[in-house]
Amino acid sequence: MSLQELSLYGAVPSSRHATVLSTLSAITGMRPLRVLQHHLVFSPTSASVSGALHPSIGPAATQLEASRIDVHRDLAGPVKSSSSWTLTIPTIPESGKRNVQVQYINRTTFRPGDGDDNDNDDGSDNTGLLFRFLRALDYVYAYDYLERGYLFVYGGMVIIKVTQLSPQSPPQLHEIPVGDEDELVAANVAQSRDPANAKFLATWVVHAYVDILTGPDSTGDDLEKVRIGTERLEALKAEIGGIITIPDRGILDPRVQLGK
Amino acid sequence: MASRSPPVKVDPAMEVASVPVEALESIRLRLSQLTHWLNRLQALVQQPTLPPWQTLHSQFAMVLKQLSALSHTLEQHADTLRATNAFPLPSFPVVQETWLLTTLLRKRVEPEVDEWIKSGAREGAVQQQQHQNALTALGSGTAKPRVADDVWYFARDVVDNERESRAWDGILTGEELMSNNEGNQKGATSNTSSGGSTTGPGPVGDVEVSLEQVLRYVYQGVDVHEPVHKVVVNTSVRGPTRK
Repeated sequence: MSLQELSLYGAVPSSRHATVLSTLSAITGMRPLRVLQHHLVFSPTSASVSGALHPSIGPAATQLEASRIDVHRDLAGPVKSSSSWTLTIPTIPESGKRNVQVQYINRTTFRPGDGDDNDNDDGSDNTGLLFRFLRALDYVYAYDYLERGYLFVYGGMVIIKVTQLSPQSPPQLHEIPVGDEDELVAANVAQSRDPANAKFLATWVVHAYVDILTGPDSTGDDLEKVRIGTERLEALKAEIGGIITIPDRGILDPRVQLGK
Repeated sequence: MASRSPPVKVDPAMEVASVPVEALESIRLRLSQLTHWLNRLQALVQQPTLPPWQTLHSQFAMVLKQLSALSHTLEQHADTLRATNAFPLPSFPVVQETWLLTTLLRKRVEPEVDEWIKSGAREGAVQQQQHQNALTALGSGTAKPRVADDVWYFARDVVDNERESRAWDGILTGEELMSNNEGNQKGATSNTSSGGSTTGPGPVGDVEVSLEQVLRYVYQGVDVHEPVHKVVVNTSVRGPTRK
């Protein structure tokens, strides 16, 4: 589905994160939900193919840029391999001076495999499948990270995630023929990312966002929703104050330059 | 105001050569320009709404320019003017127009004007003296003109105001943050366990990174500890360099 995401970001040092969490609890009137996700980022290697994953978004439909893909799944459940992967393709945020950041993203969830093509009987990890799928689209694994923290819902529309990230160094690879690389990386990545042992950054990132369905699935009242969403975000900003900023859009640019 | 020579009636019987026409004409020109610009400035100021300060400033600059041109012209013709004597012709009706005659030929300035001239001369002398002092002190010929003291006082006030309106502390360097964090970590474990947050064993990173660095990592894979100089966009296919 095509989404328009309105966002505000903030950063909280670990010394203040307890305060911020209790403030958000009070504002939203709910206990925080735990969040634990594992993100993998893939980069495209050829422009023509990556274009196939971009349905037309807005007036720049003919401009198909190569973007990195972020795939993530929830690890909070008891069994790591039972959750399915969600694929997100962001584009560079909209330019112009505005109060919230606007970014068009495309998101889809992989349904759990039907198992017939899979050799694994115990319904285990379909990470390898994921890697093969993306490789078939000419996307290669670039880096991955773990994300853990809390989630709040504000005003019925705004989702606030307060998380810490744990960047992982890419797995060590020796001389391996290209065909097997993905499997090994997948195995490494899926197994060795243990949240219990990971080293998380001290900074907590606050991401308050509203996702609005646009494109072919939308109900036609996008502008109204954008307006309301912006209002909610600004109300949140007024309540929290101080920690929310809008970073430079160049930092959030997921595009990849494909040299020939 | 500057003293003005009376207009000369051209009498063919007179010797025209003795009248310093050129000097008088040029001075008259300068004076008329000056009055023109002064009138414009006065009209601007007297408008129902005051125009923006840039307009007034440019007009004022023009007036100053005219003034300096006038003083230059006067200086140029100083010798000629000093030797000039204005006197009424025999055909002038002195008895009827006594008052007019005395008004035209008066050279004495008003007390107010006199005061201005005196203070200007004093100021000039002071400047000259300071200039000489500076020269002798430096011993070379390239001394800068001194600024009056009250300008320094004014500048100090401005700086103080600006300084008070900014926050100077509460900002820590990276090292201070690190040492703070290590101090906090010992207290942090007790905090996190009491707050019931996620599993204890995950050790916390040791250096605070900025929001920009984190987001840049998320979207582009640039190493988190890489400082944000300006906007660094990583468009390479692979993420963090593989070792």
